[in-house]
Amino acid sequence: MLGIGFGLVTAAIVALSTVALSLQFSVTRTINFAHGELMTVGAYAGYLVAQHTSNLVPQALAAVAAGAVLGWVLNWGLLRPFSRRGASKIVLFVLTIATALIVQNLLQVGFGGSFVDYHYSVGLAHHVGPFLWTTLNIVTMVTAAVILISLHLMIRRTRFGKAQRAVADDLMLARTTGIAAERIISFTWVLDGGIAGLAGMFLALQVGSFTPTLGFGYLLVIFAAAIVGGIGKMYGAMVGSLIIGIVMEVSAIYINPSYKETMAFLVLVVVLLFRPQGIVPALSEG
Amino acid sequence: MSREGGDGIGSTSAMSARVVGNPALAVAEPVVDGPTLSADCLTIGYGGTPVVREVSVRARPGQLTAIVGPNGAGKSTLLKGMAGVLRCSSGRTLLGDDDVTNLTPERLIRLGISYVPQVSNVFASLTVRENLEMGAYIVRANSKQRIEELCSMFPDLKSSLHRPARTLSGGQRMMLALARGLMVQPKVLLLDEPTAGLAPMVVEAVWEHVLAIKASGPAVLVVEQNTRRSLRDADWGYVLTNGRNNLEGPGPELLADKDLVRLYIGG
Repeated sequence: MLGIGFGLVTAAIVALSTVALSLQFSVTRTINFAHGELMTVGAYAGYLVAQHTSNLVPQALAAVAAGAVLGWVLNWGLLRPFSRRGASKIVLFVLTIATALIVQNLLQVGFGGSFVDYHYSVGLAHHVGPFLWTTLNIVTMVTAAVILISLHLMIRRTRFGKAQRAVADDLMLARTTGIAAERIISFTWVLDGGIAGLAGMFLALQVGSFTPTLGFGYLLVIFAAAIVGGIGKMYGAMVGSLIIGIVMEVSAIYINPSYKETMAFLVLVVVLLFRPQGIVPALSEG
Repeated sequence: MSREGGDGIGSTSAMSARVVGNPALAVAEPVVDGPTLSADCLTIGYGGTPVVREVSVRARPGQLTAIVGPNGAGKSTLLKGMAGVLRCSSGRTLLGDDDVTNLTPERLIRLGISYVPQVSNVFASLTVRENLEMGAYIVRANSKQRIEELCSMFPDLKSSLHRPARTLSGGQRMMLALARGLMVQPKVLLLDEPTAGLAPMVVEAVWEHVLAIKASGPAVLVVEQNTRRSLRDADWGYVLTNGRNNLEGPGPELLADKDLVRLYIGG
């Protein structure tokens, strides 16, 4: 039960990041290898603000802002100019790899390569049903839940969300329909970056200390969760994250914490063997 | 093309394209005063040899203009060029007197040019209602009322408003695509093979809608594989071969042309 409790916390963080990635991928059709860096800059932004205030809200806002800015810059400064000149998806993918390395190294220049400590005054642990959670755990999960529900409502109910789905469905049809596709794509990157930045902050707080490779190290877990759920499917991403998060933490207790990520990939391999389209059926694709 | 006397449009094609019948008599003055969409010597390709070479057509308000021709003649490519989906390497597209050549699709729809592609013409994962809402993306206001209007025009859609478009039949999809294209009350409607792959009964239903649409005012420019059916009701028809203007005239008169029937329609 303890493992499942931790698993839910990990799942919440993975879900935030994976859903953001999934949404970004389905709308822009670009595989973003720098997704981990969106998380990392969020973590550092939160860490910087934490030097001045222990209040979590400004830290979170800084994390969101940092991720959003990087997401926007990545699209506006790099991906869009290249794709306008007819660069293929592979070229764009390589650009995101380059971005990941550049951001990592810039962070190393700024903060050094060693671990920085980032904590939230843990306080007492709370018993919630069978689970044992810290205040931070609960804040993490509630925030993730609120954001995921808001995303769902945005995608289903708002004009912007419907336009995002239209662009995801068929870019050229969206454009001939008059949807300002470039603006939609730009906003999607900002949204993706903001959510990933926040996830990065929560991840860093959970771990307690981190380096410029925080997000990069987590990238494959995020990809695993996205693929398990079905690539580009937002609801699938939530389910995939839940499975990956719980498997990781439960296995950490029963097997060995250092095999956490190995277990995540084991799940990925099994899912790819038996349901390569992802575990969420096409009907609920979002 | 002589009827346009001296405005320069289509002057190149006039040298090569044969005109059937007397255009001055056949083409009545437009009943509606919307703009005419004209392609003037458009050349369009996908890189390499152009698929469409110096083609000129014009679609007048309140009229059905059909572009026919054998497979690979460049009909759909021409339409894509006029819709901003493909870049034209030379020539001009005019809406009324305004040069709209190579504007983005987002701009063209705002100017009143609505394009309904042949395949993937609906947003498959969006519901029928959401598809219509997206059709009105650029107008925002009054989309509810307009959806009501279009539902009474396309009764089939009314009962499926909450179904995802991917669950619709081919005919329903086409109706939805037409309705989506009409959400903005376009001045010009470009239709790429609206009846391709549909059952004969559905084909008739689509044609009735197309005729009703043109009667309501906009210029309707349709590209069709089904030459006989489209020319029957076309106020003006163009025959394209090998990416060039070949023949033009009032639809029924083109159909009466023995060479054309022998070469492109058969029977």
